[in-house]
Amino acid sequence: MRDLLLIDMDAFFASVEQARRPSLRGRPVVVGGRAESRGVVSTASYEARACGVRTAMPMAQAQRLCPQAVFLPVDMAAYRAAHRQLLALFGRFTELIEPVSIDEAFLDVTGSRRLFGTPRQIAAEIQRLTQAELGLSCSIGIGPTRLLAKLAAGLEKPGGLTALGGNDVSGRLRALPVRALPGIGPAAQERLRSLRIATVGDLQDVPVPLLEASFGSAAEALRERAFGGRDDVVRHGSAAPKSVSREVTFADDIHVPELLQATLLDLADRAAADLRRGGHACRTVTIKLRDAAFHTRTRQCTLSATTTATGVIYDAALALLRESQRPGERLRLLGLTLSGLSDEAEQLALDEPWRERACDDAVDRVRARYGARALHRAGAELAPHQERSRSGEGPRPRP
Amino acid sequence: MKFTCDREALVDKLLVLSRGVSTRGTLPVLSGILLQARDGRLEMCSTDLELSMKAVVPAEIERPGDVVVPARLFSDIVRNLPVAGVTVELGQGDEASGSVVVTGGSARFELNAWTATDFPQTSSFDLTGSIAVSRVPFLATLAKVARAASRDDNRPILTGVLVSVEPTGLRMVATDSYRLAVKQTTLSDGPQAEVEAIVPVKALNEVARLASGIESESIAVVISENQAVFGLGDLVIATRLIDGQFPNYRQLLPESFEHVVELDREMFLAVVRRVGLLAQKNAPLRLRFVPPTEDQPAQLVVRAITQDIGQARETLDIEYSGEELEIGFNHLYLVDGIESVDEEKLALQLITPLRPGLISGIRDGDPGTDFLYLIMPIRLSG
Repeated sequence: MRDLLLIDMDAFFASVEQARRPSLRGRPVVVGGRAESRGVVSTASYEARACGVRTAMPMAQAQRLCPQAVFLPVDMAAYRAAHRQLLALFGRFTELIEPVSIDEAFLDVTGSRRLFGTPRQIAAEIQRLTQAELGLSCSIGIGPTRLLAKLAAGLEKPGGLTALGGNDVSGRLRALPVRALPGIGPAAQERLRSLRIATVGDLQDVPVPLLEASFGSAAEALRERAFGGRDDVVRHGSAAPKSVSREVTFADDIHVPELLQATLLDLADRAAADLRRGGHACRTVTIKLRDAAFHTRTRQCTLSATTTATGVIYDAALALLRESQRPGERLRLLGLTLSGLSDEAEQLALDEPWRERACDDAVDRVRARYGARALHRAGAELAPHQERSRSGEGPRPRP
Repeated sequence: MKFTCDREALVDKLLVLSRGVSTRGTLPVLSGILLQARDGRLEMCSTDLELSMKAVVPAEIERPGDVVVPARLFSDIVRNLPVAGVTVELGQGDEASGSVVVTGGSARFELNAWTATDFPQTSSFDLTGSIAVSRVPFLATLAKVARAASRDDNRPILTGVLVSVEPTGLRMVATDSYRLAVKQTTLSDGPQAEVEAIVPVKALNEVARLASGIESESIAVVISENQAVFGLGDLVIATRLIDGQFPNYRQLLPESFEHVVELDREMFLAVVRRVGLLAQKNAPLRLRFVPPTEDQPAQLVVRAITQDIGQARETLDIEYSGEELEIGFNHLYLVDGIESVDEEKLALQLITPLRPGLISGIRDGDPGTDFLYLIMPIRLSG
């Protein structure tokens, strides 16, 4: 049996802002895009949450709900720096650290008992240190599996320290709603509801054939979750991301092809750079369009070979955009996702546009030294980019 | 049709032809061998519609005629007959019934067969007007480039070798788009003709295999608009040519290189093979060229890391004065290139980690130009 901790930073972005600006402590803080450009909330401090502000809520709505809050732009560099400091701090207790995202990490402290005490003692010490050294609060879940640790961390927030053990599977766990289980999304919830399964206990008790009739081969995994998940090892370092995405919400709905193309070029440039930075190559390119009526659709294509080249990705994305954009249609959001990632180092071809390659490489190096905004593709400056969100930075949470 | 011939001679040629039959296609008759008995000899043909072969065996013809027999079974039967003489006969009077009788001693086999008219005549195997190309240089030239040809049918043109025959010599070029091999061979007795064609590497490999066993010093070659025919003694191989434009290899060769590193062929090959053991799953072999410091001479550090398996590292002292440079290659492509160099020393020429490297032998102190092996790097991350 392993001792796993899931450390979940409380209101991470907002907390980092409060930690570096003492004047903000105790006040509602909302980090996100700008309201005038239809930005959304990235993180709200607990003080702001008390007013009803939630993540992903339009910033304008947050302003209405909590006018007294301090509204700040996203400073990803600062959050990444804090993330690195946190990992270093966790590293004092174990080598087995798996960051799940910028504000979450699994720690395997099975082997740390003799040096640092019980998992609960270690967790309490980590909470004390993150507060004392970085001014940040976290909630920690302790469990023998990832799923139980993750579940435990979510039970009490902020500042919680909760353990779920094997005994809880037939006890405390049973009363929880199924949606509390990681990996059970709205669609699965809906189907479970139709089977009159509301709690984890219901899910534990349901006959397997009934579950299989509705979920097919996924039934097994579903039941496994209800019983606390599998004994899964924590791997040092990040789990591989499955995709890299960039998207833009426009301040005003846009239909001008040139502006959309410029935006797409910028998205391709940034996403391809993320891809290369992670040491990946992609095989699939997907664009996402959201129209003024909030209807979202995606179009994707598979490349003939994996690539990391901005030019190749842009060409593919542009072809998709041309195919799928309806004449005169106004778009609210444009997104680009690169998936089918492989770590296979990319074998270059003789007919490679090597000047393009050299250009990508030089761009990456300049940005690594002078920042992501240091330079952009000619043509991309037309992009009316405003709210920018991205994902794929870290791995996806795994149940 | 009725003929008698020597079992050994027949088995010999059947073995060759059996390789040319097609058993997977939609045309069952392609799994057969066409037998044509006439003019005191037996001609046998096989084809898979791309590659066709013809062999001739002396035979005593009692009644001329032709028929198609199943290749595998016919070969097995002939090989197992108890006596040296084989007689093959197609039922008289009902030639269309499609039944062939094979006898040897008291053994008698009756086989269902196809009529000859069902057999696609893909080539006339006509060697009229052929040019004679010296056998040994032809095979040596092919051996240096064949491995660089592509096996991926998605780009058919790259599954071919660009073969040029000129009075002064012979040139072959092959590329799978990741590497390119060019071999130029001077012929002292070159043909008074000039031909160029893209020949499927599969056919050329077959020519090489069969040509290495023949007595003749030369290979007869005819290249027509859509076919190449190779005469190898009593064997004739015909192949369709690949239509299209072969990549302009001269354009792919960089005009100049930044670095020239001289390496001992054997030693470099051994290091690449050894460290390459840990370059699995397409992991790159990393070559790092380190200029000399006060304490140590210039070095080539060869490394490979395979995720979840392990890593390897080996160092070679070299002459190198440029800036430190690290470039990744597929180790198998490197091995192919190094092995194709005849000289004791080879030159590895480089530009940047994203541009191709060039391998050639060093002759009289300079990189040779008769054999060039251009190899594209693997992009190293981080």
